Amino acid sequence: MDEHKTTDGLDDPALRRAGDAVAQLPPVEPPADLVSRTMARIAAGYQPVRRVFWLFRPIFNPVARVAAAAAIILLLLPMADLNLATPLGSRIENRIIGHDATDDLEDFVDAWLIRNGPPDYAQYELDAWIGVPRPSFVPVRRASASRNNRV
Amino acid sequence: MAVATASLPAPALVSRLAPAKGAQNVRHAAAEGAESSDKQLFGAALAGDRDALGKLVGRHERALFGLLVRLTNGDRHRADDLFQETFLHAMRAAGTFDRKLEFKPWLTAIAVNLVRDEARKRKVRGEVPLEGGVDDQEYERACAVADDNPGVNAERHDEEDRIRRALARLTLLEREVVLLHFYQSMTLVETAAVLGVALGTVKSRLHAALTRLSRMLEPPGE
Repeated sequence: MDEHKTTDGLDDPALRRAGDAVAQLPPVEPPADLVSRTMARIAAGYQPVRRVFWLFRPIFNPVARVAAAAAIILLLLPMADLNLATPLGSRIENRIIGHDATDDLEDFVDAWLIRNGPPDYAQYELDAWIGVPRPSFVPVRRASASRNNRV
Repeated sequence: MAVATASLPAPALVSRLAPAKGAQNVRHAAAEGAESSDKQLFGAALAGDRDALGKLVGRHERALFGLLVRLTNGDRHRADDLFQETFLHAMRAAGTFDRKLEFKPWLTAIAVNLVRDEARKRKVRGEVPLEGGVDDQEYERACAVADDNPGVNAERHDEEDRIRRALARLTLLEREVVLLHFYQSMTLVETAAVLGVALGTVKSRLHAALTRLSRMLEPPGE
């Protein structure tokens, strides 16, 4: 009780007696299985979170989502300018990816576009649209395997 | 709601609770024995260590359950439920735990807030609180002891019963401050931190509560 006397400033003996009476209440015995039941309840309602690299964590805050989308757009927007994108692409090809890997990737994308892309897809049209100079010859069309039209 | 309901604790918190240690090291530290601090045990429990969680719950079982029984006027079933809720909330709201503070006051604050929330819900539902409370086990224990020395123990039991009933007639806010300061032996500063109020508020609330309590505890003839 000394601690109480020095900290609470209760000078009235009647108040002090009332406080001491409360302090002398016996401790309450908890149920024998309280700890195990508590742990079972926690196990049912709480699972520790696995560590996830910060970049891969989902963004729940709506403002943060908009900010992240804006950051991505701002990063990619300059790529629409060919004067900036072309040398950057060359540098990536030369220094990071390598020519062979780039050729393989181009072949793969072209094949995919021919197979699954729009029916009027043509690389030369795309090149013409973005201003890449092409040799002035007509590309060879694939021969038809059907002989029905032959006389 | 007063109870902190933060989302599940971020993994970074585990390292914050146990600096410069991974979860495995925290578990190892928790397994070292009784020397582990509450913060270490809590950090290990958050990392999924059941032994550490068991130790932590066991360490605070007696004091916290006793406080909850007194706060709920001896309703052991409510106290039992609130005790479990307290630890569940502590695990979920670990993000609100300030490492600079002690674990026990933080846990006690959660328990007190849960008691308040529960009392508020009961009031909304129109449930009538038990006047004087029910504390069967304590009563049985007192009766069992009374066999050894019937006169003295019966008198002591009557006195305890009178104090319990007087406490039950206080408001919840008054009962909180009296029990935290006298029954839990917390200092006024700790009590203020647990209740989230200013030191002066605790003093005035304590004074008012003890004034009412002393009047109720006065012998009828005086």
